[in-house]
Amino acid sequence: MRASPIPSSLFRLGALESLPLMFAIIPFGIIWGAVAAAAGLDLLQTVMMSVTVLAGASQLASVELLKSDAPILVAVVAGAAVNLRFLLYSASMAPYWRGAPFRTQAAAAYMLFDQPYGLCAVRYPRQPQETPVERLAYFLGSAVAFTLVWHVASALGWSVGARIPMDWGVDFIVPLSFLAIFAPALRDKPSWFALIVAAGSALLLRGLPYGLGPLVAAGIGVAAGIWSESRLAGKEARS
Amino acid sequence: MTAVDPARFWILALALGAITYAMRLSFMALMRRHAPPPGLIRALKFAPFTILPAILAPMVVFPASGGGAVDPLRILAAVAALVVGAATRSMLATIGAGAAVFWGLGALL
Repeated sequence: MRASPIPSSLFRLGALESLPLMFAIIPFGIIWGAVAAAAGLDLLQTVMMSVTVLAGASQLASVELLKSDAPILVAVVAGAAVNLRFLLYSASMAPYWRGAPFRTQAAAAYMLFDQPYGLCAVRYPRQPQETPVERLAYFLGSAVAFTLVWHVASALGWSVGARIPMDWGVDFIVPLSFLAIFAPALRDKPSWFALIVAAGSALLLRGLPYGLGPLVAAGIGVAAGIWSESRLAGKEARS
Repeated sequence: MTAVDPARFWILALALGAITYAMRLSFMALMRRHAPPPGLIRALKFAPFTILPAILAPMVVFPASGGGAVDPLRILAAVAALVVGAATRSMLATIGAGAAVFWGLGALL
């Protein structure tokens, strides 16, 4: 008898727990499809860019640049700058996946984008008994679900195109989906402190080039969280 | 409307795809042979509470659609989602609170 569920049930759990966040992926995918159509991309190009890149914000930013006749290098660098956060996601997942077959890790890394990353970053510290393979099963369930929905939504957006109204504050959807990932997981004071320091630092550092602001801000936030945690532990040890 | 030149498009799609995948795979490849530094696991507990807020805070306070002008309604909606989410520990309640303030209150104002 095993207490923990087998990976196939974790795969399903990952997909299931991703469902509330589809409210964010569907409109975002539709927007990508509509913008791609407006830029003159055909359906194959629209879907294939999601296959090669699979990171909506960078696809939007770089195609807009290409459309405005910017040099290719500029479009590539702009897109890569938007995706620089994946370095942090990679560093954040690697220790949890370490020991699982590398091919599985390499396949999962292909889909390492915000929502499945966030769900796992919240889940893994809470489930320390899970093996790397079990963690990957949960991630893959979530990531495959988001990826499939993304492709369907972007094809839909390409077909419907410019008829979609854009002025209803659609750009609040992505921040709201991030909040839905981490707000329910906030428990202790050090996490709150880390959050406030990270958000405040990001606002102050938003002038940094190449999208480096959020990366540096996240580092400052983590340091603040660790400091706050050791301070609390010190207090408890003395009392 | 002029279509994007196909050659330019495919170079962008392939180059950006390769760079993006390399960034995603970077630390999996590195830690295949090298053990994660001590303290990293401890730091990772704070990752979701720092990376995601650091990305979303500028999006909420200086939204691109408003040309970077501060929109108090977005800030209020994000704070409502944060507080309700932490209190209820529910993803749907977080989304509901943020949406109610942003689109609900926004429609009334």
